[in-house]
Amino acid sequence: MIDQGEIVFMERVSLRYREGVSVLKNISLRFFPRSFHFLTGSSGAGKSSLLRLLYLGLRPTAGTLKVFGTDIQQMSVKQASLLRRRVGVVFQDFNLIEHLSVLENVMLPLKVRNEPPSARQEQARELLSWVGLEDHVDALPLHLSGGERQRVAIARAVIGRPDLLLADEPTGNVDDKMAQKLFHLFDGLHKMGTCVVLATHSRHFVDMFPYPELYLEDGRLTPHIKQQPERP
Amino acid sequence: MYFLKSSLSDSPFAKSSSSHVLPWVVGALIYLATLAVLGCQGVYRTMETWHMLLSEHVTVEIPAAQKTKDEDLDKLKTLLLTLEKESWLLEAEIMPENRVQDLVTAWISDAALVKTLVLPMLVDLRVSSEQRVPLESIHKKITDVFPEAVLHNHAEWYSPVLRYASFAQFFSVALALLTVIIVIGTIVFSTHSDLIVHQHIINILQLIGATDTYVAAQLEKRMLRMAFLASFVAIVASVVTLFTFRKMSSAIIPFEHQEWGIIIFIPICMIAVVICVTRLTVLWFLYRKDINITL
Repeated sequence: MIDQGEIVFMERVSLRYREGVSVLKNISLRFFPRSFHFLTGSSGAGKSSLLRLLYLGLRPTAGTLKVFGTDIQQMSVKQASLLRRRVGVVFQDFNLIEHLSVLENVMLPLKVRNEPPSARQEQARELLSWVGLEDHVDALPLHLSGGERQRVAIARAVIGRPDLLLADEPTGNVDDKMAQKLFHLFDGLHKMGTCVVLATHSRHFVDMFPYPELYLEDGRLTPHIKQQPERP
Repeated sequence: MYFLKSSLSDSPFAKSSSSHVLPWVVGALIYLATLAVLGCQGVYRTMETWHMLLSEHVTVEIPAAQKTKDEDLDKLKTLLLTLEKESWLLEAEIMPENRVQDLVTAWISDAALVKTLVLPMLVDLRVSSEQRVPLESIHKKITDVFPEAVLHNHAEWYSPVLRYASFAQFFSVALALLTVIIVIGTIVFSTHSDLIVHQHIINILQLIGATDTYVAAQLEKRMLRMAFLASFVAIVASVVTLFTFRKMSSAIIPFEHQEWGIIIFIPICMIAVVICVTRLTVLWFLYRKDINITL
């Protein structure tokens, strides 16, 4: 049964790539609005694959996965595109479009939704100011530091006011001071109502924030859980 | 073109190496297709004109040396009056010298020179196409008066020319179709290459919620710009060719406004083909990709 307002419903989900490698085994979990989850585990444990399932970048091999109440196995490509507008994603290597300016990168999610240019600009400038990049709107990503690029990626991920924010090692390419700033940014987004799932290796930050931890080991969610995901 | 330039400046897809070469390749193909259709149209109209002029006509050519005697001219007139009584002869006319000169001028293109030539006398016999015409009998009657006279039955040479013209028309249409097929193949190949090259950007766009039609529209804009450039190249080349050809042969092959219409119409059709093919290629590529995103 799916609860009203449930963002992610995952029941006995497994994922096997074409090469036959089984990366996720029997995963069951639920995410609710306004929740924050750390996703931890050693390299190759399946964190990125789990996030990939959550941003609808792949269909599971077995089990039931529903995102915003829609079963991903039955989902059309167009439905997936429209649902992804409710999901923001931040990667370790930023995935910005290099020949577009910072402002154009941040505006892109609104552009694909065909929002008017003036509204796009206003919101993008506001967000860039929020992440402290108001002086870099016309710069190309190539000319920014790792921390600045990650903040651009965060601004792009949240400009569409996503209900679910996924971050895959977002602090992997920045120094500790910037990492702390970014974690506080994610915490701020969570407090504004977004469900945040943050994959990280950083034990320090996992222990610093009072949010539940999902620990993946060899493709399984193990009992090594700091705290069970709680309903808001 | 401003709308294209402005919409491309923030396009998520950077320019690819093919974007420099493609307008010239497609432009050359559009130019070839335009020439093929123009050729087909020219042959058709020439055949139509010749058909109107020649299909019911037999010409008697009396060499220049024999036409000067007034008594022979009188004999000829008498002969024509006799022939006009036959039901198969609709009309007989001794062609005035200036018309004969006009006919020759069409091929030599130098009216002054033609006026210095000693030209034969021509008699135009318009015959019924529904009755059998006794050509041998006419020939005999004429050669009795003018032994050197020659009877030109245009149907004898006109029929094979018609066959060649039909083949030329078929060849022109086939060439135009082949050109369209090559354009389609070029666009499919180029779009597919673009999709492979820009796969990472496509994944980013899909991740932020872009639909397949949005991605297709972005690539369509690039191809539209390319097709406009290609069409411009083709139109300029076609206009130059048409002007040159017109100057060289306007007296033989008539040109009308239709040619200008073809020069504009073919590139417009090709632009439509390019846009449709691009869209279908992108949509097919993304359909096969399903929801998969690899970043």
